[in-house]
Amino acid sequence: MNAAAVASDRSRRVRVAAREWRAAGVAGDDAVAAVDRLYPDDRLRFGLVMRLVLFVFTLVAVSAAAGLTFLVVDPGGVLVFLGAALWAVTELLAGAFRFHGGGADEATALSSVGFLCAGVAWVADKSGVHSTSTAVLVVGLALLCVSAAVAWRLGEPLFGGLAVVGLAVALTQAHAPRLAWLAVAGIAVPLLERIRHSRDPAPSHRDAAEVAIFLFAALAYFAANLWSFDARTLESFTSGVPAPVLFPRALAAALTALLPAAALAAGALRRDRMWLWVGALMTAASAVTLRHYWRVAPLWALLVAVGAVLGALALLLQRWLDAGPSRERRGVTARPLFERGLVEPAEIVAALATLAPAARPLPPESGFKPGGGTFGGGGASESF
Amino acid sequence: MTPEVASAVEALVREGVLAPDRAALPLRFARGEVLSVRTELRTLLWLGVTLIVSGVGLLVRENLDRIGPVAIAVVLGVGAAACLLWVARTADRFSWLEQPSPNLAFDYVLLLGVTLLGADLAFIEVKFTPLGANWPWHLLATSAIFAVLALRFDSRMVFSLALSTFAAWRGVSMGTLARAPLGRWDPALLRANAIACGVLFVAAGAVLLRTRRKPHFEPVAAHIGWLLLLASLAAGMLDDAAAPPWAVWATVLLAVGGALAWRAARARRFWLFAIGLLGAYAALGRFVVEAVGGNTPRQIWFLLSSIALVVVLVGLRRRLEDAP
Repeated sequence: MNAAAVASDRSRRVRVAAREWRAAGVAGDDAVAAVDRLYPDDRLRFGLVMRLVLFVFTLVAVSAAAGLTFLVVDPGGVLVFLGAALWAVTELLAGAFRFHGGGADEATALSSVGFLCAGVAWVADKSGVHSTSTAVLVVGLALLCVSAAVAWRLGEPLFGGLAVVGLAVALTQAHAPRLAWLAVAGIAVPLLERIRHSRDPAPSHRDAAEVAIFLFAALAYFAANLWSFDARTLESFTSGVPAPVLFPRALAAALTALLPAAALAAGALRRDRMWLWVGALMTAASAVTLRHYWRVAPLWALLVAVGAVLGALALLLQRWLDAGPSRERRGVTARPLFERGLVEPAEIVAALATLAPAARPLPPESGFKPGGGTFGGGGASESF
Repeated sequence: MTPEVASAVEALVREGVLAPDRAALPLRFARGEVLSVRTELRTLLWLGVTLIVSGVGLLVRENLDRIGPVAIAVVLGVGAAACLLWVARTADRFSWLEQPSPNLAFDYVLLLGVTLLGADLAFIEVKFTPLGANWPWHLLATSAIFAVLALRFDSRMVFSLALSTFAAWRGVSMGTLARAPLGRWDPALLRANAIACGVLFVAAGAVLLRTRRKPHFEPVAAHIGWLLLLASLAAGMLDDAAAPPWAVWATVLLAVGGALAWRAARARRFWLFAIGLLGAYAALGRFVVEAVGGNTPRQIWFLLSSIALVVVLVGLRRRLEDAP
């Protein structure tokens, strides 16, 4: 990202915040207009929907271009060139056309990463790398390098995550992959946390660091999880002789319990939403792991009990926070602050996906076919 | 923490754009000194309801013989009644306009009550068959009850369940539309029902908006309706055995999708714009694929048409701008 792009990125944060203030009734239209004047943003951006539409149509164009190319040239040999050409298009879009978060630039960048990695795999294969382990290592490292470069050049958070995925893939071929995942996450998370909380990086770079931290935390948890340890999940990725584990089972059991608690504590003490979510997801995974080893109750009873506990916990937390001075406890509040209005649409979509009834069967196309139908309504399934 | 926003708030206060007392909260928020966990609490409540409903479903399925149908029906009914009674006692006076929830738990207890009620009605119908051969009508009754509860307690989530239950009565869901070509049931009847449901939902949304009766429910009805309508037209277009032939379906899809995209763009309703545009593009693509032979011209069409669309959409940025 050049200086102008970074300045626009910072301005955009202020413009977005101004709209959130207006939605919360803290600022009026004149304040938002003043912010727009004082913090100009010269990048070409779109909101979520238009960004998705442009992303999809650009992917269609890229696929068609690749299909046309493959009709006349051997696909393997041209992959790296296609990747490089798409990288150039991305640079053009981000530079001359000032795209940032415009959907099209993200689609060309993603395609570029895909073609470059596929090209590297092809080159490795043609260079006599016949060992699966080496090929996986090469592709993983290629994904790490190319994605990190895109994240740095464009400041797209997605590519911060892809870089972590590349590193994780490469590390599966390490001598002790489980220990390697834990060690790398242990080193990377504090370093990335410094970037995330620093003033100097562009906001988009901070976002990329946040996505990378999230994934490093997930990797560390997966490496430490007791079920993952017992099932030798990571060791089975190594081709040939299974890799050694190199740390005791008791440590895995302890980490399965301690990592969620540590993440939740970090989130609560530092008022950090990302660590709260990391902790909540780890807690859910640890609960499932516990259930796997200790069948304490029938599943239905467990579901009802956990559901009731979650509901009660939410309400108790809300009451406790509301009872604090200024309806806060250590800076944490249950009041709505500057939240975007995406929660309710997400709830409606989730309700339709999980609680909507099964459709009744219509008559078959021709003739009578006995066999009964399905029943349901308001969340009921057909099988009582 | 957003350092540039914190600096901006201080600068805006100095320039007199923001009053110091009004700037205090945004400043604390930008500095990371205050965090709202409301979204997290709502997620916990939603998850709680989903787990309870899943657990109850499992209980009924696994223990039907041991507990007995009457006991299950009574327990489900009592659970639903308890939730809905609490909701009725807690709710504010009825209004045709949008009302804020009286408390955080309200929407979720209502959702729990509604899903338990729906499950109870379905269970009673399956086990005691009061409607006999007319059993699907219980879905219509359930849909009507959900709609009444949604209107009374101002819940868009329950309203969406009412619409999906109505569609289920007509045999329609996105799942059945996707599986229609597999021939499990009459695809023509399914498509006709889906189109009818789509048109009805869109019309219902328009009526709500025009009469100012729960106008904030209109987006739910419009989005589900347009999605059903365009998905059923697309299903007809992709079914080579369909009558009328695919060209008729494609023409209608092109016209309806194009009109929707045009109107939605003017009204800055971006999801509807995206649905309409994708429908129209798919229909146009089908015509081109059928008209030209061979892979190369088809690839050229998709390359040029998608680039042209991207250029046009970027050119229309001012009109379509939905980002700050």
